[in-house]
Amino acid sequence: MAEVALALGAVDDLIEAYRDANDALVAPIRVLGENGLVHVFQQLHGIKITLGAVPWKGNHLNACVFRFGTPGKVERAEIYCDSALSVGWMRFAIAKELAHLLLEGPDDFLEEPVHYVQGLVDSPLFNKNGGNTSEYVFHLAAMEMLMPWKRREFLLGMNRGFGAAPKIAEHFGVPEALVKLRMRRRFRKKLEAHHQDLEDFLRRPKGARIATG
Amino acid sequence: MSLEARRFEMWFRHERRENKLFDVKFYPGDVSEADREAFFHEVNRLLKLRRELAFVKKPEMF
Repeated sequence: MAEVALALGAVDDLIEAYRDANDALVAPIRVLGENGLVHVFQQLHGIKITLGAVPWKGNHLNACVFRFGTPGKVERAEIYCDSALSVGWMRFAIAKELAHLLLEGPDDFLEEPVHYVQGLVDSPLFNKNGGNTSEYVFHLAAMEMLMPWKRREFLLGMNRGFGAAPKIAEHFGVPEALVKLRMRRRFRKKLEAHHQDLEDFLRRPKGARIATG
Repeated sequence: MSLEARRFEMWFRHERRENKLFDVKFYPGDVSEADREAFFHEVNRLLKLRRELAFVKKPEMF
């Protein structure tokens, strides 16, 4: 899936900019505040982002993002999340919406809003049966923002002994469920394959095209 | 189309016309077909609240 590799490349660029702004890449990756991911993103892409959180007590809705502007130019965006989420999930939810802003271009219009919402029904996170393929990319991108590929050796080094997952989750500021997913052998292989695709793409001869879809 | 879905669609068309909204994405929790209406209801409730939202930031969180 070249689409995933290219998405991971865009996340790498954002993480690089984050590291430059902070002089280091140390977990937990900050999402908000001066030189946090959102701030760095705004600097990099010139899109003003407004954030909001409120306890709307949603059982089915965690977060959302709105994009405003004109075709060809995203001017501003609003991200909202349920403040009743745990800290880790809130960070992940914001990162996931940031991934939408990062990976979707100004030409990606939503034409059928109701149809789109219907498509989210029964498409849980990392649906093994395919589910919503495009959402898979955004979830993966968010995960990579908070647990960057460049910190993978440190991450894997922490994954030793009983009770490692909660420690890793606390260190990286992510939900424990994500850590468990990230540490699964099959998932790790899949992620490695995506990054290998990205490396192959970056090493391709000039002018060569990458198959998408 | 249900009332909640129609309400959402109307909101979207209005925002597109008036405020240059061109895209909206949601991050759902577990939503089954049986919850579909409840999901649309939550979406509409959030849209209504949207203008009043302020980020309650706990510094240690982020």
